[in-house]
Amino acid sequence: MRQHEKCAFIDSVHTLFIAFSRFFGINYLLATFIPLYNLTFSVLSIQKMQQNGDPRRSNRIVRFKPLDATANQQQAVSDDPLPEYMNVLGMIFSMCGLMIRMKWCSWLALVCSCISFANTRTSDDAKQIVSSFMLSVSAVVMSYLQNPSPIIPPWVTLLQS
Amino acid sequence: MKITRIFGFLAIILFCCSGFSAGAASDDNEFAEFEEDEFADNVVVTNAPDAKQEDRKSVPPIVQKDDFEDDDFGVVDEDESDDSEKIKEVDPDEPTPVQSLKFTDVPAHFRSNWASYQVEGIVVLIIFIYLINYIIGKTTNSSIAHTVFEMCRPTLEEQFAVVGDDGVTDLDKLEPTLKRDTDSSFSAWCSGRVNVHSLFLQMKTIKRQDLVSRVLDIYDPSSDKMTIKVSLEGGNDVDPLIFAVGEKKIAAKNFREMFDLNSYVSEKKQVAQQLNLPATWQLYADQNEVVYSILEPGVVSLLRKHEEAIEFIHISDQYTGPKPAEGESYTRLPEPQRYMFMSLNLAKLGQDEESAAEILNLVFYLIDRVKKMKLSKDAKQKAERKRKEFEEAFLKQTHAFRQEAAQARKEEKTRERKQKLMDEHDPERQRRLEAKELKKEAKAKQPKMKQMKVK
Repeated sequence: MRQHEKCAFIDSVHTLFIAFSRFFGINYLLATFIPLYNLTFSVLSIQKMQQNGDPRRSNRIVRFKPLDATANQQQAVSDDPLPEYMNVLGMIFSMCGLMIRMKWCSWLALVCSCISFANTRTSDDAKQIVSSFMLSVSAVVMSYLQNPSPIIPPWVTLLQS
Repeated sequence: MKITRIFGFLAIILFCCSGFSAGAASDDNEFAEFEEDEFADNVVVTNAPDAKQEDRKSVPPIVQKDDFEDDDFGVVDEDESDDSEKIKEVDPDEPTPVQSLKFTDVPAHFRSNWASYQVEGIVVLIIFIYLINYIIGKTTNSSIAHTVFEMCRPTLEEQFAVVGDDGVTDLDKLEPTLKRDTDSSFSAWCSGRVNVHSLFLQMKTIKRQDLVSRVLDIYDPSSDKMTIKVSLEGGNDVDPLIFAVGEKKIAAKNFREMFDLNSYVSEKKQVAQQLNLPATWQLYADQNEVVYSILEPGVVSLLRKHEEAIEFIHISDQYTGPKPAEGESYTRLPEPQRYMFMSLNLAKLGQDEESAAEILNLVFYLIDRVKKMKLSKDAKQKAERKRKEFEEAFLKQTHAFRQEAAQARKEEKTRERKQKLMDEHDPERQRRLEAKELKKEAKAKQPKMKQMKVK
């Protein structure tokens, strides 16, 4: 039996089966016959799935439309807001580093910029990442220019006590 | 008398003298500061350029004073003489008390104490490890996604006229490639097939490039996923259906979150048992007949075969996206669309090419099946009735909101009118407007029913 004949046969049997089941009450009939039906037709059905004429239609092409910037941005932010959070955190830490001369804040700002960079989207503006890095690096440089003494590690005080 | 005259004359002379001397002193003081500078300028130190000669002769530097250039012409000021006296007073032989020097806290230079920069060293090391992990993770993610895409590509190219469209390149020059959205998410847009507007294939891997996410992943493990979003062709000849099947956790989550699933479907436990679906799966549908039409034996056997790879399937003609957040609600029912979603486990899917092709073929089979599916007359009517009822219930539910909005608009209009009346300068016009306003208010107060006069 050729492939398309096989498929036509499966289709007709399936239609007949559905018609019968509707006539006698679906649940009862399906419950009774499904295991048998499964065994008989499952293999054939898979074969049927894999065949078909050429489904390609070049006249029905729908081009990919990148959503408008704001909607796209909103959707992306709701999907994964981590880069935005890290950007804001980095900015806050940089400001703390620059204004209050807290060195560990400047270093944290640098780490935040790195995380933001690793999670950035291709649709995002590269300027944002660059400015975030510049700000955090300048916070580090400025705080060490002002006072080059190192951060006192917490374990030093622990050891002394 | 003579004596008094003499005394008076003397007193006048004395007075004049004292006045003159005071004026002279003030004149001197005015130039005091300049004199000092000039003095310093006029002191010329004639140091011989040859240092050897100086040593041999051991002659102290000759200090010459140019008298001709001196404005004072040799007159020595009182200040100068005082200074010289002070110098004379200090005896060089007398021992002076030794004062200990106080050093201010000047931090040592970087190079001399690198060892004390421990915290900085650790932070730099962390950043370095993070960047190395970024490079490794990025390449791993990219290779996973591209391997799976290469497995799916032959099947996709068989089914679609365009694979991997970016919306910019000309269709003739387009090469089927995967688009990188982030370093952990990739997508491909396929179009040009019967029964389908478009197929959007998206791969979301674990954020291997981000060390922080990897650490968090230890506590909340996730896996690589692939989602297929198919926009189905609609039309009058397509029967309504809402159907979802998948792993318990994911299916239940979608049932809670998706607006269409939440509004129309119910769980079909019995049918799932009858159809012999995997025990860990849940089945949701708006009608039993829909389930029987879609889950044909072949489909069920394929689902069982790829139980681990397939996570969730959702087909709907009423897809409107996720449910609005709590406290919010739609004021107008969004336009429903026909969509099919399939969520797959990327790790299981990428195990062998054959299973990837089989799963994709199942997707295409389901697409065609949904298009061809014919429900019985009763089922179709029931589905349409259900949708209509839901719409009515929605309108009823939002009636109060809409009424409130209308009331607010009305009040705003009245307020504006009254403001206009207040702002009016012309009294005649103001009176006219007021009369108009009163008439309007009286009309609004009147009952809307016609009043019958009882004779």
